[in-house]
Amino acid sequence: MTPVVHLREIAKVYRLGKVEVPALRGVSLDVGRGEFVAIMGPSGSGKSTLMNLIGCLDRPTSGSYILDGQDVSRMSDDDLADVRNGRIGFVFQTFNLLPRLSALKNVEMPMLYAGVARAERRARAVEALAQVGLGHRIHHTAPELSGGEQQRVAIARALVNRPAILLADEPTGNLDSRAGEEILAIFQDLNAAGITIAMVSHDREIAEHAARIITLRDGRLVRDERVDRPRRAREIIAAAP
Amino acid sequence: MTAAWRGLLGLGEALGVAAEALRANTLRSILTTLGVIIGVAAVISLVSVGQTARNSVVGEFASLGPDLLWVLPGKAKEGTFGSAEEGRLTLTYEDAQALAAQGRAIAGVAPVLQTQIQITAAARRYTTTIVGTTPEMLQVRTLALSGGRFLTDADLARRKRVAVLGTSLARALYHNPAAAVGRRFALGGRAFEVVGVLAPEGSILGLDLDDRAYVPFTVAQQIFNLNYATFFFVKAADPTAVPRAKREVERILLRQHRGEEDFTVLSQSQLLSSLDAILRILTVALSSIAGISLVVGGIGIMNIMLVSVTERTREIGIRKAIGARRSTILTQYLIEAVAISLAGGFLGMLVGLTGSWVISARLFQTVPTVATIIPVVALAFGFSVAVGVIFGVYPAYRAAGLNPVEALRYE
Repeated sequence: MTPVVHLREIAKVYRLGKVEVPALRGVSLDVGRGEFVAIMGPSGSGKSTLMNLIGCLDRPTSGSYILDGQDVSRMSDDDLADVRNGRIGFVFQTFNLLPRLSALKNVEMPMLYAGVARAERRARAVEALAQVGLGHRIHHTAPELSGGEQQRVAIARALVNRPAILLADEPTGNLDSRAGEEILAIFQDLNAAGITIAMVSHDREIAEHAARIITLRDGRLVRDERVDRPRRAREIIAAAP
Repeated sequence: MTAAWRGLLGLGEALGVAAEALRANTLRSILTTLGVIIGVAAVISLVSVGQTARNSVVGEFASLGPDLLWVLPGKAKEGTFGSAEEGRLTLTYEDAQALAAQGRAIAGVAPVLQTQIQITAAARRYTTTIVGTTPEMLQVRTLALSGGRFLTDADLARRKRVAVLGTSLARALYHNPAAAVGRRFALGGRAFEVVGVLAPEGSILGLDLDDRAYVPFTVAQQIFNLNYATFFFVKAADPTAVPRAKREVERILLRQHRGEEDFTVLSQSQLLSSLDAILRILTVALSSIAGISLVVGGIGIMNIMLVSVTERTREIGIRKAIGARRSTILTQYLIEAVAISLAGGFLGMLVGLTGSWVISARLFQTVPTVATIIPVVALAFGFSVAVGVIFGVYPAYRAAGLNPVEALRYE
């Protein structure tokens, strides 16, 4: 079976004036369908750059990237926008909801860009919000929601166009441990339902909720390990006082 | 789903997004709109007042009669209105008599010697226009009397100090025009008797034609100590005889002046087209000045849109991350700019039309016609859409060109 993400010798060099700063120095990585992968590494290791490349927000300087069977490493801006819209779901550390819009409108937005008709948009958005446990409060704007609720809205928004992969960049970084654990529980539920997830974290405990951990250092992939017994978020929540 | 459709997002959705963004900054949106409101209001009111002025002035001159000729002293340059040699007096009473006697296509000649002067009646001072003329004036200008009589040949021959008043002047001096006949007023230390009052004539170029006193030409010569006429009215035998009458006047006067062409003969149609040209230039000049404020309003829009792009960098990053294309962002910002300027255009149109209504009513006693308003309204909408697009393109282009990674990092 073809992997969802197929990276070969990916390099990314940033130009700061005349100085060239290599962020990635040849990373090869396959993420199979249905996997839950955590990407770890200290700051400056290149994990955010790798995330942006997998998320098609940026293009590699060299190397090839096949996403879901399609070469995206040399695509035009508009084609990349379409790929981000249809094949990728983003979840950010700071949630990145549009503050003036309701939860429902935020979740509808990717479908707006996909040209989905109004009634179907509404129905799918409601469904996605229910899937992340936010069946109520869908008419509240982001500032009226707690951090954990905002992140659920963001997850619903990421899922609503049925992407090939869900990308999460420090999704629990701005949450307390309980709310963070609940977000991880949602990820594990989604993964159990067959959704491919890649998550960046600098925290080993959080990374161990995934079944596989990849470690980057100085722009290179230095470790690729299986987690024998991933942490079960639901159990941790239940055990908490 | 076609790419174009996706890029446009559906106009309804895009308008919704724009309305949302404008609502979020209500005060700022209103202030920005104000620039366009002022510009469009200024353009509209000046254009439609100018139009109304043209219609009204042309109408006024046309009402003087199509068979009228003006003979002015001095030689006018081709295509200009009036005399190029202002102040030079060359027309005499004898010239007028020669025209009346020799012209066959000429129905009547009325020489005019007029000036503004102060008169006194019942110990009150009043400045008015004194018109020295001959009895022919009544027929040449088709004036009507409301009481008394007009000037007579005997008045001229005996230099009698009599006057025929316009209604406005009669009312100003004696309160009741009907009671003016037989009253007296003083002009230059001499007493004049009112022998007649004219029926109302109206105004021309905002000048009240009823605020004047007709006196015998010979008396006016005496008072002003002048042997010349300010100008002549010449009436052609009928409207079709105007060109013939004009040639006759030129031929006779040329002989009178021993071959020197020191006069100008204007027909009503020449006068109208010159006046019309002047008013058109005036309208265009004033509207161009008003147009500048529209440009200023446009720059205001550009400024606010650029601020908005900077403020909403993160929002643009988010939109791009979830799949908005360049064209989608471009359209969104362009629609916002056009929405601001269209709103301004609409409000400016209301203000401008109200303004031109009031101004026209006051200055010309008429209101703009529907035929005047329709092109003006089209102009306002055209202008505001153009302003929105022209000044919205750059900010929209900036927004669409943002790199999503950097835009998302923006705080």
